[in-house]
Amino acid sequence: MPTISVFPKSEEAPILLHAQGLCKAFGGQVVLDKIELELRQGEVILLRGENGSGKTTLLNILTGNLKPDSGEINYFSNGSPRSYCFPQRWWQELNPFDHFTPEFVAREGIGRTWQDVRLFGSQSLRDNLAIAMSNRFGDNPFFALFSPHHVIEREVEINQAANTMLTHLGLAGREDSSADKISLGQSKRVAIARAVLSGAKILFLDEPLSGLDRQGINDVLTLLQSLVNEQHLTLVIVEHLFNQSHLQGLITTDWLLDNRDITVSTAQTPIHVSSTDTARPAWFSLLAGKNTDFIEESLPHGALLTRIRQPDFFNSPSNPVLEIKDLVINRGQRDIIGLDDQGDIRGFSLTLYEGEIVILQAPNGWGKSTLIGAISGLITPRLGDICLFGQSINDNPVWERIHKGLKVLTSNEKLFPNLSVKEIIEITNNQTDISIFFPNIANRKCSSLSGGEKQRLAFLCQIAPSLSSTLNVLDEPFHGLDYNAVAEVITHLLSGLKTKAVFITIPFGYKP
Amino acid sequence: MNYLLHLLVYFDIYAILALSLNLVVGYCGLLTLAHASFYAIGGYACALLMLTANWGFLPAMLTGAFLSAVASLTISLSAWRLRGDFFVLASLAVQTLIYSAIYNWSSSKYPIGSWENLTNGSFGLTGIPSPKLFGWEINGTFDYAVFATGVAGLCGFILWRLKSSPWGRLLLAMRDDELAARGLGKNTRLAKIQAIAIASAIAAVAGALYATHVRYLNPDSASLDESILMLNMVIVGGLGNFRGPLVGAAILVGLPEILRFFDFPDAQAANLRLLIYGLLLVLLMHFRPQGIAGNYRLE
Ligand SMILES: Nc1ncnc2c1ncn2[C@@H]1O[C@H](COP(=O)(O)OP(=O)(O)OP(=O)(O)O)[C@@H](O)[C@H]1O
Ligand SMILES: [Mg+2]
Repeated sequence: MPTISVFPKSEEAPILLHAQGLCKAFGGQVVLDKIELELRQGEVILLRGENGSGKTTLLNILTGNLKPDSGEINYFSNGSPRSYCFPQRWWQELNPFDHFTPEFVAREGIGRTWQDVRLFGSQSLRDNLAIAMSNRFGDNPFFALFSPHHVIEREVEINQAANTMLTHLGLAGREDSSADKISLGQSKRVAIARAVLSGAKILFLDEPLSGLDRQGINDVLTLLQSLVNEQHLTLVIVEHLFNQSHLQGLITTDWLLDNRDITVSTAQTPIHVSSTDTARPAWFSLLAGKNTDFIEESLPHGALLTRIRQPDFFNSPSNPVLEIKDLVINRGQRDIIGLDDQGDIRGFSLTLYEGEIVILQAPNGWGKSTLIGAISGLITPRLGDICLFGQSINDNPVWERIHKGLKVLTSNEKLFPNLSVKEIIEITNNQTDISIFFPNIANRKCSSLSGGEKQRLAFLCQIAPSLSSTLNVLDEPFHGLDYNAVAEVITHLLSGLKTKAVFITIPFGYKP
Repeated sequence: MNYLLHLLVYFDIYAILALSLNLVVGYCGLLTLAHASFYAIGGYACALLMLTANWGFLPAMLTGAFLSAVASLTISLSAWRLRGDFFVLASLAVQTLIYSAIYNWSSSKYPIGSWENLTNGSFGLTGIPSPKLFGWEINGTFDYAVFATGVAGLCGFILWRLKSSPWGRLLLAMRDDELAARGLGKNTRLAKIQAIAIASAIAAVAGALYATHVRYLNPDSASLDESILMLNMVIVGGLGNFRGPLVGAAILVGLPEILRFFDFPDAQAANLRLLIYGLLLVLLMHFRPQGIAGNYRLE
């Protein structure tokens, strides 16, 4: 299949990576078929495609995490070219210096970040960055023992570089905080910096903006911009529809993965549906349907509550489904939910009525997941009451709340990795037959699904229309989903909206 | 006084073992049940070389450490691919293998230390000479306590320097997220081999100390019980830092001695000890999964 390549300004820039004839199939399912691609220095690529089109697979192949079935990859990013041909011969596997493994590919100047960040959680931020830089002596226990002054000399340099980088990231003063205690936006930036400090010339970023509020998105974008302008790095960014608009202006080239092949074009036109600062996310209108009556309310600490009242099901604010009264929740020493803008304890109150869809948009660190944890019974609030269908559920454990009609989809839903899709659907014991949504992958193990496929499965299993009255609570339910999948799950959600309410949370806005 | 000095020697030996085991369990996140095997290899190698070849203590001990490091490849190679439960099983297999080799490598027709009767089986090795070091004949209990404390201090210093080096940092990163560390170009397989080899070599030093202190060695020192005792020290004391294993070693060496003051008959005391170990572990896992002084919890 022909690939159309247009490289306007970077035509003369040196090629850093060239791959051709890349094929990858899982079982009988062909995901990539004779892909050819080329990366030049300074390019910023948006790699897009529907859920399950093979974006992560391609990223894994180009970073040495997965072997292609056949094809050839050439890296020119590190001075001396290195090429890998597939399928590899058995004797190549034995050669300890020619392995196609993440560490060898990383030494060719290839860096990557993961969608789930993967910082070294128990270590300080400084150490997280310091580890990326190589200390020729210090990484060897022999020198560490017998030649400490060589090691220390380099350590001083490394720690200085790490501190400088942290200052650059706006994290001065936090050098010694442990990496699992910073916000999502901060940790995504530290992860990018870590890859850069490891000597990456090409950086592959898997959904760097997902799950971030406006502040986090801006911070990551500023960092990426400076990497491109000042360090002339080459970036390949995988990002889903709803965040793509933020990347406009940064992207020079567009890779569209579709039907096992890649189409290359220059990015000139705005890519798709936009969602600017003020406008609501595009899926709001899908949820609202013909009804465009949004009732908005602002909450403390920059959160925004939107109510959509389903004309067919909503009568008057008389039948409460969920009542939260004067809730105060603490994590450790600190109160998180229930403070007003001045930081005084006020208690958080919220009522959801029958036939309402309520969307809570709040910045990272606001406490969305904490609130949902309290509703579902995983976290015990310090003060306050939660009632479901008029009955207090304060003393009910998780499973009793579920029997009373609560359905929760958490943001990092853990599906059973070793069960097949079919088995998971059977376990959830749905009234409707949702296996029709998964015609091709019913027998696949859950751990082999793509990010979007997993989210879609979790959504459809958790949120099943049922006969009894239910409250659906969804924490960031659309993350990782493409437009079609969002439309599909929303239709599914609404198809059963009889005597229910829906509560959705998403990241948004700025933290004041 | 003599009694306290004996206790100090035991503490030294187990402190070395616990600290070195912590390098594997606490820093690499690999739960191994084979540590006692490497301890025994060190003890047997040192004892045999001194008994049959008349080697001095230092070369015999270093040879034992080297052999132990080589033998540790059996578990580090399986750590290339295995993690979690499967690695525990692989280490258990290695432990069983080495224990039965030591137990069965005997034949009464041949002299001890010959190829046919290397370990003298369950009878063990007796009459191991006491160490002589640069003209210092280490004979009395006091001398030995000084010597053992010196060796433990040295081993502790080596481990401490390694753990606070960039290499130690690499181990911690690998424990937290191996794939992320590899993505930064780190050779984690090599780091695992190095860590396990160093830990095993140091365990062998403890073995040499034990053999020359007690002057008798039998296959019990390679037994699973011994491995579990070491693991207990690390887990009770706490994983992933330096003081944890020391605290654990002190508690588990001290506990049987405290029981001794209560005048239980010997047979009961042994059972009681096991009971208390078990109880301690269960309570700890419930209330303080990272151990008394540790900062990392095993999943
Ligand atoms: N280990 C595996 N075994 C079998 N099939 C797999 C495996 N990994 C991925 N697949 C399948 O290959 C296809 C491509 O997966 P991939 O993760 O690359 O998609 P993606 O483009 O990243 O999708 P998403 O947007 O949902 O993250 C999917 O249909 C997925 O189910
Ligand atoms: Mg993906």
